[in-house]
Amino acid sequence: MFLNYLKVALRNLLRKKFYSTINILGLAIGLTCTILIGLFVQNELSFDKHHENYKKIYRLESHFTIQESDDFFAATAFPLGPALKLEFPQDVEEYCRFLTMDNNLFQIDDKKIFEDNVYYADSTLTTLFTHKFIAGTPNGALNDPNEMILTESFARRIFGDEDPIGKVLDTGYGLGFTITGVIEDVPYDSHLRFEAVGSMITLENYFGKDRYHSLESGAFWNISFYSYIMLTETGNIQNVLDGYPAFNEKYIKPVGEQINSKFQLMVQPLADVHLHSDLGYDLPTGNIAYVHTFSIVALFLLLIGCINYMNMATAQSANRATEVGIRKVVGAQKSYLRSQFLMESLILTFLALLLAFIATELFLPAFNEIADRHLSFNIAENLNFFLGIVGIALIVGIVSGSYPAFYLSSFIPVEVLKGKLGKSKGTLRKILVLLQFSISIIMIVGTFTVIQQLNFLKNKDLGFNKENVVVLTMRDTTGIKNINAFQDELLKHSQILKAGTSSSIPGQGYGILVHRYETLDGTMAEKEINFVFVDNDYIDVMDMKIIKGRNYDPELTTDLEESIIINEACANVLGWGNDPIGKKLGFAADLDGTANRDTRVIGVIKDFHYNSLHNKVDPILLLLSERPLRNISLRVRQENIENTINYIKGKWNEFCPTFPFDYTFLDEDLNEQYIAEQKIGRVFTYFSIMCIFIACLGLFGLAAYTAEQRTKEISIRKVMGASVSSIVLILSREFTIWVLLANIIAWPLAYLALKKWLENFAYAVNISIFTFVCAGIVALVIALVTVSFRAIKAALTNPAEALKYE
Amino acid sequence: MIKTNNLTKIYRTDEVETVALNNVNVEVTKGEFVAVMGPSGCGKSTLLNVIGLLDNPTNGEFYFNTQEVSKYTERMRTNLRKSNIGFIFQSFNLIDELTVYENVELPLLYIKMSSAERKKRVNEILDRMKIAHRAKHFPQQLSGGQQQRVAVARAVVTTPKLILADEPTVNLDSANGEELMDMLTQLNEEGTTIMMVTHSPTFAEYAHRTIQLFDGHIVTENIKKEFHL
Repeated sequence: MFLNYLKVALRNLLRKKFYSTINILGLAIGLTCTILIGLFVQNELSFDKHHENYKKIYRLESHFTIQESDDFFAATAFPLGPALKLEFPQDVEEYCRFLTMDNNLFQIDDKKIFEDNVYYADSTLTTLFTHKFIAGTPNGALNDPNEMILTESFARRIFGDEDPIGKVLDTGYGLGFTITGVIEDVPYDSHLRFEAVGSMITLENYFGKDRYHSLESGAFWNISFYSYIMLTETGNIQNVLDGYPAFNEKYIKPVGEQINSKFQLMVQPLADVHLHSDLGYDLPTGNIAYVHTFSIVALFLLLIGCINYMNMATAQSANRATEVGIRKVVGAQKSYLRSQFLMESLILTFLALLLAFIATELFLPAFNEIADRHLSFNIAENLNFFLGIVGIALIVGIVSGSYPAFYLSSFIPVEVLKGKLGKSKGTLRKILVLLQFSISIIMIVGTFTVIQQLNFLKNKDLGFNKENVVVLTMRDTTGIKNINAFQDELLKHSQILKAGTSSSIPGQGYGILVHRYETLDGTMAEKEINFVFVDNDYIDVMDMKIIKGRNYDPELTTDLEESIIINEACANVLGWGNDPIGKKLGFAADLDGTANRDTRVIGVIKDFHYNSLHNKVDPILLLLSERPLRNISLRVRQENIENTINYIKGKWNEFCPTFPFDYTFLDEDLNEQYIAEQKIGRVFTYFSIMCIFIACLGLFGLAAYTAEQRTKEISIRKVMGASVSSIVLILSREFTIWVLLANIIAWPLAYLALKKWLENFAYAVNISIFTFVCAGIVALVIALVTVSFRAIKAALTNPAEALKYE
Repeated sequence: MIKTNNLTKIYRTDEVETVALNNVNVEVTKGEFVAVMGPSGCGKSTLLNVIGLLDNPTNGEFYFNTQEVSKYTERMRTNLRKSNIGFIFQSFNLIDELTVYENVELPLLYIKMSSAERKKRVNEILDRMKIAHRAKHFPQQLSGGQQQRVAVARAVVTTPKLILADEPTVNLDSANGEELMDMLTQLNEEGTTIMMVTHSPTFAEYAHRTIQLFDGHIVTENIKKEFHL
């Protein structure tokens, strides 16, 4: 019997090449996209799960409450891990801390390599985390000061094919590290990726033994470490959280009370960090919203493919009616027929799946390129995923086959054998097309809005001129000392217009400190405010607008000690409104070298976006620095930029020979902030094109069917004198109504989804009705073009042929 | 074998009620060959459909082999039908996607006969219907006469006790029509009961008895040939 089903199914597929192609193609595209999205989602969900102990590992995180304002940070204080281990021995087995190693210029012989991704880490790194050692052993690899583990590819970059174990690697600061281990590259799906880790104990020499091991309260208030704890076999994280109040009382509160601040411990399971973290000072993370969005898109694509099948299968029912009738007459029960039709849809789906596997192989490199991933599809290594996809195909086959199966198997043989096919109004088919087009319109609106938002981010006035700014960062202490002479040299070049220095550049993050400020009634209050050090020229170089007061004046030596420039947001937040000039503002805590400055506001700068547009502009202070600052911003002319860069490079090598020359353009740096959105936007666009394509395939098939079904009507109309165009109109009208109705369903859903997405940005485009209308028109035009192809063909058919046949 | 008491079939649509069969009383004995005649729309095919268990009557009783079956569910009717009744249609109604062999084999699949037995049975019947050389062909590759022979082969392959033929000769030329009638006669002589709807008085001559239907009533019954059990 199965063989009989198979034979009929295959012969039917071959005979109805047109409909089979539409079905298989639609499902294959849907399944291919599903596999690609599936791999992407699987990758997102697999972050940090390659660590054997991942279920026992938690990241420690900080929640500060200062002056009633809350801040959340991924970084924690140095003694937090050790103190937790000490106080909760039943639950906390071990801790491991990471500290970013700044300014790493690695030197061996004449070779200099600069690498950002380097950390100090505790020797427990290999206890908590799983890293495979290629050379050296995990035991004691970071036990002593000045030891270092390298990744395989980093080791190769430095040492080539030589064995690095035991070799000493100099950093740019006369600090040498002995290589004690080489590990496999840290997998892409790790939230903390590094190229090298130096032993944390190296810092003992810097801090001094006492400070390094101190558990004093003050040490709990300086956060710059990523800390992780691993629970014991019987450990429970809830015990730690329950015990925290007492812990807080003992270690943290003493200093907290002095500075009127609270610290609350937060913990996050290691595997959740990548997708569920939204904290300050965090490493780049993923976003669960994208995982959800893409999963929904995959579902959409499959649904549209299924709908095509249902529509095609029921539309062709006239052709299968006789067969159903005969099978019933000679003894087929309904259930047999249902299995037969289900089998057919399964066969078709699995053919599509086969194509999808091939297509995945072909398109995966391109997808990796677009989404910036390193995904691979290896059935043997990813058997569960493979089985999952087969399962999905099975569900798709059953879903798309079930309606036709019930519909076709319910034919009454007496009637169908007489050629009387119950005239179905095709209501369900219409609803299905409505659904398909609703989905397509949602995707079109989504694509339009994503593109609009990305353009908006690119072109928004940031409050400074980001174009034609070359940024150099001095990493070398001698270079920084000579920075003024260096700048003077640079300004001699006719294409270099202005030069200024700052402690940070937009998009890089700024310092934050508690400041004292003058309230309206003249008393002093405290507040955490961002700050950046600048020199006299920086504001001018960046084309920032002074809206009140004045800029720093190099002629006025008092500016250094007594003056401060704030942004608009600062004036508003501190309640100074329109009258901030002359207000008192000073540091509450010590700041090395600039302690206890008491300044007055001399100028207010128009708000500028020093962070990405995901965030609102917060208050910020622009403090004048007497010391040279390491970031140099150069405003240059656009012409002959290559020549200008060469000139800068020449001067750099004169002034800062130890470090390799490196520069960036500010606008490019800023664009980096939206790279995740840009990638997502690109992927989204491709998938939405696929969505629309599959829907159109279905519509094309359905138009063909409608034309076929209405052959007699069309012929009679033609005999009566209808023109080709009027017939095309008649056939298109019905579809036009469906597509227009689809807008009604799609618009509110799309609106809600986009509103939610745009909430991720503090500055977002307005969702305009125009976008929706445009999407509706695009869908309608695509639908009409699709339908017209078939309608024109039908209208051109010789009516005599059709009527004779009838 | 077949007995109906006041068999009535009414088709209802939203606006119209059509009485297709009106208190029809028919009795067909085992081994009989009955022709049903009458003008278009008189209810011939409806009668055949009800007797063939393809449709239930609206009212009245219907005994098939002494069982009252007029209230059977579709599933019960299908089960009874598949081993007892063979159908021959005017438009042959072969499945285009199946070969001659597969078309004939189809009813045997539904009675779950073993594959070896099926093969034997299909080949026998194809030989008998002189169509074995076309076993691998598809219906469209055959002439009308050949297609109808395949249809007959399919109808008799399960050795049904009753064959219902609905104007089986309409789409055949006279030579093929006569050949078909000879085939039916031979099956009847071998013991199969046959009920055939026809417009042709010539072909009705082959039957033992002719029933004349008009507007859902039986108007006359004339016995052409002696029939003895």
